[in-house]
Amino acid sequence: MISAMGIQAGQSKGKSPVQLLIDWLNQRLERTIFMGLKFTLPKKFVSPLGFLGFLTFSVFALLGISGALLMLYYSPIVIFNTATGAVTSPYDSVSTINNSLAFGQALRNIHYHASNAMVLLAVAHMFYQYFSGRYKLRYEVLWVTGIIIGILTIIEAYTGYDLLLNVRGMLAINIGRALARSTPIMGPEAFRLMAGTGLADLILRFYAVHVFIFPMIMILIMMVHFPRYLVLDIPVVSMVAGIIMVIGGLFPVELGAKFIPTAEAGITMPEWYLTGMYAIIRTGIDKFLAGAVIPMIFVVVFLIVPFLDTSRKLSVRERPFYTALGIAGLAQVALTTVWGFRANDLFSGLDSIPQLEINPYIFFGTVIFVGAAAYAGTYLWFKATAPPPGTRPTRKQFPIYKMTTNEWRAVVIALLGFQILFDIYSSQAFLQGFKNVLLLQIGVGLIAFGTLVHLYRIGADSK
Amino acid sequence: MASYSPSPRGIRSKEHRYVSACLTCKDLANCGSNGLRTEFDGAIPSRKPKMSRRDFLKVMGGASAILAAAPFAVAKQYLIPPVPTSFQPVLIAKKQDVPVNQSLIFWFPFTTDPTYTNMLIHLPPDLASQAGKEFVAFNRTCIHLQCLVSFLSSSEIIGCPCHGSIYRPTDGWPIAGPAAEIGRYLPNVQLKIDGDNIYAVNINLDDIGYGNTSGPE
Repeated sequence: MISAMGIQAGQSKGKSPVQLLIDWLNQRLERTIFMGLKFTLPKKFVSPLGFLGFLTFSVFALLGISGALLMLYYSPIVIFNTATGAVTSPYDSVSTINNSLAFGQALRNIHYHASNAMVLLAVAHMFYQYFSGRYKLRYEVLWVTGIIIGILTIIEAYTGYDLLLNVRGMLAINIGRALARSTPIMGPEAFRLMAGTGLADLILRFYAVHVFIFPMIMILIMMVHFPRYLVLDIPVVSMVAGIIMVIGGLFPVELGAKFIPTAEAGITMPEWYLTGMYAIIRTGIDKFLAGAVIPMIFVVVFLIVPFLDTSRKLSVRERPFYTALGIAGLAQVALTTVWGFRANDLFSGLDSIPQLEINPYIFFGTVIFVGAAAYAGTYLWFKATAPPPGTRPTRKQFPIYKMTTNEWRAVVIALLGFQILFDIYSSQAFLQGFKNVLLLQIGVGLIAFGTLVHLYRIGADSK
Repeated sequence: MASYSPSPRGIRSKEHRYVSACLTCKDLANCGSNGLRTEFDGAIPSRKPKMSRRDFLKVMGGASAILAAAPFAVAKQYLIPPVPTSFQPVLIAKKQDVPVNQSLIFWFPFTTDPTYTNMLIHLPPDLASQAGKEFVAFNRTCIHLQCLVSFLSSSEIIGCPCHGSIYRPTDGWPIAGPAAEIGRYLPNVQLKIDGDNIYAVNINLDDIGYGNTSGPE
């Protein structure tokens, strides 16, 4: 049978049947798209900053799995019974998933925290690539497609948290469709495109966009965005998944209050990646300017950077203008994001409706000041810390502790014991209905697994 | 049996590993049945035999992966949600709603699938005396290929429109057609009659479309 598979006699000598099957499969996969990507499994620890993109994709995959499972029970149906006042809403199905189904709350938790992690990792990935100059030298296509995927990621997350149709989701829907309507000339069409004939249509459209249309577009763009060489670092990937679950256990996702049209609604914040835009809108300036033009200025600046910065210099110090520009942008994003959560006065908490309106002069004055200060500060910092000419920057070597064979064996066995213990704990938590504890313990188990795989690769390589 | 020659690849060769594993056994005589063993009786290598580093790592890594994946096994309960086995009684009709030799179709216990429709039959006097009760209720899902059966008052039978299965209205036993070949009772709905009110109390969901061997009561 093996010879029939076309492996030459010389190659098959001394190999196990399993290895022969893997070889056979590998040779046939040469004909497929999968072999176009070269995966590197690092043999030692490498900085995750270098493969934040692949981590973002891993979380995207986690979102795909958890989201597909949530689709089994989610129902995007909105019916307002005007006679009885009863509201049938997707909230009811989410509530069933959350409260009645085994592992349902854990899945929601994973899906929610993974969405936050994906936005966070995508933003971190973008800024890391920006500061390390990885948008130039024939990386322009990767950079531009990356920016587009980033925007799609945020819109995807936005459509996702609206699908609950809780008070917070409804607030975001109201703002989103009002912004769509404020588009000059084609506003009414943009509104109808988004909302159809009303909320029931809108939820159905958001659902289609969230579970199929946007993920498909993202995957298509990712095919262009993926570089040929990818780092598949199993320890870090499993640790990221573990951390998402630990955070899910510690800060379980809330169901929020069901949206009832006839009931009063309190102040609710949008998700953290939209509070920046929310703060701009709260200044009361023109809707289209606040919701589209100002965010687009930010995006366009980042989009055109590779076509302006065409030097062959990569280090942050050698291109101070673009470094300072990036830091100024980062500072402004941080400021507006924080301000979205705060009162009209940045230094006090938000607890009443009159505190919502922010004075535009104070707001934009502060934003411009912070940007300029960050810009100037970067230059000053470079000047103050400039190395004397002619010297090469030295890299700090972190002290690495080398374990003896017996030590790492002990650690590996201890980690395995730890995993067994946490498997027992988590099964107990599952049986007793401690949903958050369950997820926390699964996450800790995954982190232990990641650590163990890390020790595996050290142990397999060292003498 | 071929004589042993040390493998050029040394410690990682299969034979050597096997022998090493054997020599760690305290009782050599009961240590597997491979013919190689006898040739090595007494020929203990000077190297202290133990599990190689790679084997240790493979075992530990594999075990760790299994342990990391194990807690997700509970997701099975999410994919296949348990179905309740008993239900709240539901008022389905008043006695006067169903005249003699007539039937009434009602949903129980769910309204999510046509297989949850059932028929309440007010038996004519002759059948009622056979069955020992006036009202009976059966699930409408034929045990042959799950078409929906009906009570035919003209011929006093339960008939399936798809392949002609015929059931007895007294106890739901198939008397003709493909269902008779299968030979299982149509699942019955337990009723509770309280004055004029008729309540559906319970049905065994696993029997729907499949039938049972015990019949009503």
